[in-house]
Amino acid sequence: MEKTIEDTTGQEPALNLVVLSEEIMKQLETEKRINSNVMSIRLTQEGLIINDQNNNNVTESDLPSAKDSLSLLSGVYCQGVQYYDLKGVKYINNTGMSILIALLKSLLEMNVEVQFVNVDQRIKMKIKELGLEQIINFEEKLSS
Amino acid sequence: LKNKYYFEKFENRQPYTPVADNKYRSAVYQTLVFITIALGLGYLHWRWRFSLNPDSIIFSITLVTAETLSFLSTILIFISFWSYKDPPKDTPVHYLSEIEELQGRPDRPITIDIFITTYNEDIELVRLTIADAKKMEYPFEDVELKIYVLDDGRRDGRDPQKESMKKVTEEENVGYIIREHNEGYKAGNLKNALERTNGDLFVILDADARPFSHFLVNTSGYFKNKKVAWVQTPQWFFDTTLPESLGSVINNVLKLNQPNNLFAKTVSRINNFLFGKIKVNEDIFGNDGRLFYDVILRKRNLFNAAFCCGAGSIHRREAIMNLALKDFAFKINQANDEPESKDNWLKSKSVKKSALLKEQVIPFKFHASEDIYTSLMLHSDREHKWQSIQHPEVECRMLSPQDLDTWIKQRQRYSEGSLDIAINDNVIFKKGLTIGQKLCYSTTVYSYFAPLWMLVFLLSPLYFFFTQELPVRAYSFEFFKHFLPFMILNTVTITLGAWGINTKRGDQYYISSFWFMLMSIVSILRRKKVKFNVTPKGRVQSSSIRHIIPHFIIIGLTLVGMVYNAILVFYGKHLSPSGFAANTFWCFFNIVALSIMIRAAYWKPSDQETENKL
Repeated sequence: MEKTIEDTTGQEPALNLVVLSEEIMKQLETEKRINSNVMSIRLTQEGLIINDQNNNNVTESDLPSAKDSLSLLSGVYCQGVQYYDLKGVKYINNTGMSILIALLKSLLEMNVEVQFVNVDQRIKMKIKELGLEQIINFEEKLSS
Repeated sequence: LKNKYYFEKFENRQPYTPVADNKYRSAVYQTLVFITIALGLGYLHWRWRFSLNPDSIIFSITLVTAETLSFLSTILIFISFWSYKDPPKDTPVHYLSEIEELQGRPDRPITIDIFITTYNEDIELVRLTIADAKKMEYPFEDVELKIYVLDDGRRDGRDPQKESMKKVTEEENVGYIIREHNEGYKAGNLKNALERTNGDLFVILDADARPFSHFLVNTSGYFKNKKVAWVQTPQWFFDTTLPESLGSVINNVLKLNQPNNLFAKTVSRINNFLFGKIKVNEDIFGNDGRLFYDVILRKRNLFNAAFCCGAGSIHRREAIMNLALKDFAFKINQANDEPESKDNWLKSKSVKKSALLKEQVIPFKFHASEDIYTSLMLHSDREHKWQSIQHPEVECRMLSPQDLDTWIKQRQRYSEGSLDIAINDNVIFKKGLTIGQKLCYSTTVYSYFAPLWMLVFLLSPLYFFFTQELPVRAYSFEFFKHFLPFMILNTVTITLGAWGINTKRGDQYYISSFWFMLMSIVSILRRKKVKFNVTPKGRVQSSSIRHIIPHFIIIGLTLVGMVYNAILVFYGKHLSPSGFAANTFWCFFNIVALSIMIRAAYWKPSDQETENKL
């Protein structure tokens, strides 16, 4: 069965010419689900900082200052695994580690596994020291 | 302040000055410890070998066992009182590199979060704490101080019946953090806040813990020692009750304050003349924490065993998060190591997944005594060997329980929490603790078993009064020769160890608390879940009488027994008049100690003006 992606705003279909296989469709849906449900995480020079969008009780100004943030941690979903690239991240503090675990748990609830790639050697060491190597999966490079 | 609270009249009270250390006094104390222990061992040796009364052997053995257990407690106290060793103070922290290894990160000024935990306290009371927190000074302008109210009562305006805490935080321009459940109580509240904030250091304040402006200036410097995980400051209760004249107390009890009644007026004047100068009821609830903070905890700096008490403490975020992560990893790996999951890869994966979903990263243990339990875990971290500090000076003021019911609920939580730790995570066998730490934690836990021997000490005279059976062969010169030197020197040594602190109230409550502490032991042995009771701040109306029924019974029976024995002595029919004299003397101390809780149960503020305030 084949499906088309439609604009949900009710306006003219935007991509109705693109026909996708069921597998790709499923993948896109999962990605959409991940992106809409999972917290967004900003990478900073000293670790990872949470931005829990679902919590309306903490205003942006209460959260760690945005000026520190470098970029949003973005993931790629592929065959049941969400890959996150940690290239350039040299250090993750313990709070950052707990944020990664929260991320991992929220994805696991959706039956999505998490794999971190391009993880710095020092971060790998830290993960091992904390005993988290069985929990936080990391690979040397993102496979093609 | 709006002329609303009873404690307004105490606002100008100044905190105490910590006891100054004196090496000569310490040396004398330490010498006396050896002598007292030697005398104690000599006394107990004599008691076990030569003094047991064969005609009343069970009673004899029961009492001497209680004495032995009590002596063990004394030895533990002697050791933990050994000496002061205040850690060196340092100037306030400015940059992150002063408190952490940067490991490739760029340096920056530190950030400090101030958490004010609240549940159901009066919002204006919390506003006072916010106002004082905002006055906290710090010498570096680029160090960011952020104040958050952690409201576990969800008073964000959704419930019109509740006053809006959120509105107060908006008016005061501080952060407001809530959650949709109360899992883990205060520890859960802190967990939630730690997930949403990122201060390098964080301060914990209760709703009523109002910091002085120099709190951070005086405490942050300790963290330059990169092993320091937390600093606890003394919890100074600035609202302890004032002394009252005995004359006015009697007049109140007898309701003699009637200006139009000539008889009442005359009796009242006589009372004031006779008893007016005798002062009573000072700190009627024994809330003054100086013995605990300035002696017990502060002297534990010597063994790196001072534990955290929650409010008025400042923490290194990385330390507490490190502990939380390791604990989390341990639980997941433990689930993964289950034999059934080892054999089967697929099963292993599902076990790991369910463990991952079930377990949480919990900074402060979800426990009724979350502070002491978390301290224990940090102290036993073999990798980091975290250090704790009991800071000597008072840095914040707090409110104390103002009725016996609240007081007992609070103490019962401490006692049940500590006993629960003793049963589930025995400190003696806990890996990673030094011998000194084990001794100090054992002292705390062991002290909660005191009612076991205290009950024997309270009931023994009664047993004697109604049976005339002696727990010793005779109250002879031989007995007093062994007993008195030990007892007198014991008192002198403890006084010297707690030099400068009035321990009278503490001693009275130590005995008087026997009943609820006994109930705590029973509750823990029956594996009842320890309740987390939030201590009400301010005055509440509650009945305290049920807590003192055992006290009334023991005092009543003691008095009856004394009269009965006096009659027997008068008619020359008593089998042991010396035993009667000794037990009467003993009972005098028991009654004085037990009566404090009775007085506290009936205590009401005499000051009419403040009686109806919160």
